[in-house]
Amino acid sequence: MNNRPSDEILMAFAAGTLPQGPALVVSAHLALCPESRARVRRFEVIGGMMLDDVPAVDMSADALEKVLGRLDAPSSKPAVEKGTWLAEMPDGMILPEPLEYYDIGKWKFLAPGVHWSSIGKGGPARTRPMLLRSKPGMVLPEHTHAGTEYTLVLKGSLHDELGDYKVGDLIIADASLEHEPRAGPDEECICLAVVDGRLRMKSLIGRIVQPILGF
Amino acid sequence: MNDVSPLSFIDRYSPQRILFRCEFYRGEPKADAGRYVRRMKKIDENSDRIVRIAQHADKKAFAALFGFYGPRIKGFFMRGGMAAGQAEELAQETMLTVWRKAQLFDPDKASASTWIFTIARNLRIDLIRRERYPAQHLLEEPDPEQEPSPSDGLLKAESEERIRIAIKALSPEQVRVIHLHYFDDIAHSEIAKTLNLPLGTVKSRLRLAVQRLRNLMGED
Repeated sequence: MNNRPSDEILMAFAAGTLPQGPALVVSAHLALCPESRARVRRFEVIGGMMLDDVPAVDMSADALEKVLGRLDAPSSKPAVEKGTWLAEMPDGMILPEPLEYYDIGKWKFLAPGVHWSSIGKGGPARTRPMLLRSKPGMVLPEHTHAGTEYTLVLKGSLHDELGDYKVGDLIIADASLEHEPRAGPDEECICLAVVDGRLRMKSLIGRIVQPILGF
Repeated sequence: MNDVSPLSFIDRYSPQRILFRCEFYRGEPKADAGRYVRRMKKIDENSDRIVRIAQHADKKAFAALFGFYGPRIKGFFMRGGMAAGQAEELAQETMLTVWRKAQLFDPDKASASTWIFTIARNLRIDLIRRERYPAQHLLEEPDPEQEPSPSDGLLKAESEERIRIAIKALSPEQVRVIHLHYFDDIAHSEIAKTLNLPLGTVKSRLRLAVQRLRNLMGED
């Protein structure tokens, strides 16, 4: 796999400073990429080191007693529930494990040959992750970025001026990059995408769908 | 082979492993090797405690683990800007989670500190964002398709030690940039403000620090 997130992004993920939407996309990428996973582990080790070396602050006198008193009580935290998926997936398509815990909406029309579906409920709509489903050879709506856009290929392939992207590849496009990704000619393409920041669509179709998507 | 002696009593390590480790300590004073051995023992002690909790619901082991990590977790949260009361509460919650999840701890995969760091990190984000951080299961699930890599032959504690030594070789500014990244839930632009540097400088410093770290760990 050629298209992996930079170490800075994997470090931010491990440190817990990556925003929620990008963290979900990176997490889904990790489910598909052992190499990135090994790197995140490494940055988690650095987190562990910092825990060892951070100036300790005394706990309150009764802290241990309080926690010991709670050890045998059942957890009051509700178990994490699996999400409801309304968007139909093509046969044999398995979404990466981290998505299991998110609600996925129905497919909606975005542009000719392209549908989208929103993921989860939290946060403002413009930074909410989404699935994009494109027929073979179709161009995803052209846009310029005012933030960083994360696109993970889950099925089929994507192609732009800079390269070809296969399942598991994560494309991270910052504001300076204007690209026009197109689905591969032989197979439909499904991607997980999120925008970290504001996205302005450039084309007419973009200007039409932008208000609908709430970007 | 003089510098082998402080380590050689740890019989569970093979000679190759000891030699491997001595690569790092060649030429360093023995005191460093002594400190290293003490730290390794501490790391193993804490791992054993979590295993004892998992296997025997050992409250004594928990109390000892609490004594070591409780104040560090609280300090970690406060370093990240959390008020003392909330940091105290969340540190207690973290230790409670350690107790409940102890069965999921795999001492071959991570040290106690690394594992507990991920729990503390997740709880902190859950609290701040009121949403579950999607990194929850990383250290807790087997990696069926993980291909063996050169580092798999090493004990996890040794590869962790490699990272520790690499970090020690970074310049203080580089460590500072990396630390800020972990301790404070703030964006790069705010890091720039804290360090009174242009944003571009912070970004390139972080990039350099990460690059150097990679070189120190023997990667391209």
